[in-house]
Amino acid sequence: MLLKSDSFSSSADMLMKNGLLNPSAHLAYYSMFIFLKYVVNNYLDLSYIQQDNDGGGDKSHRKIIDRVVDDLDTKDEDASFDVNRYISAMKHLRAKADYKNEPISLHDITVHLGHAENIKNIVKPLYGISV
Amino acid sequence: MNEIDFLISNLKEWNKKFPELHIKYAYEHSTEFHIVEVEPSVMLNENKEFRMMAHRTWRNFAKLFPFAELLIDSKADVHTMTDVKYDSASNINEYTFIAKMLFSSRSSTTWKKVTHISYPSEQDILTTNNYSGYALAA
Repeated sequence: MLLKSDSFSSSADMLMKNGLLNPSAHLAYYSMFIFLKYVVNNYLDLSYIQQDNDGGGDKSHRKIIDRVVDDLDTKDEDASFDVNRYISAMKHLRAKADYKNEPISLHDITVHLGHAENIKNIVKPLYGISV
Repeated sequence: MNEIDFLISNLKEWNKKFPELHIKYAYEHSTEFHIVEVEPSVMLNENKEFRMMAHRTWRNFAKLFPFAELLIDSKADVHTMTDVKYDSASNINEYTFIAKMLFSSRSSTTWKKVTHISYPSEQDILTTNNYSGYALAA
């Protein structure tokens, strides 16, 4: 799943460089979300099968995200705040990119991709993820 | 208490603790996000006390309203801030203006606000008679 997350991230970058901003926002979000699913599976006692049994949609995303943020609160509340901020900003832009007919700027996407990397960079050392 | 009341109540507490903070809260209908913009952004990025206060609000919001979305961020063009629910700047301007009018030793006149179009600058209040948008109370 980490490889999948990284491949989504690379694809998002390629799409952005080719001016395909909405799909880039979509993939960057899923790069981040797949990474969180990996964390929950490997460190927070909820397997991929259990995650899948919760179904899809925003509700299941919320459950994964809250599980990570709740655990980060016990490790480093300051880091938890930033991760929560970045995730929420990504959810917001992804909602605009996927479902709404609103323009998304190159600046928005650049910030969005930065958020995805920031989340990984904050979370990885807290769980000892070295890849 | 609904999401909006909860947030406004919390944002007022933020402003009590950090009166210099500019907080603007709007509901973005297209994405169904509650968006809170904070300025200066250095508060959001570096002030640990404020960050923890904001974090507690965020986590309580998530627990109380599990199907609602909240974004606390610095000012950004991507936010649609038209349906404003709370704006600390307008409160500060209004209260400052009213206080100056009521307690000014320069005049015993009582002023009554009749429109919300614009506020005079502090310089206007202190040095000129440019009270555009206001009229004498009867």
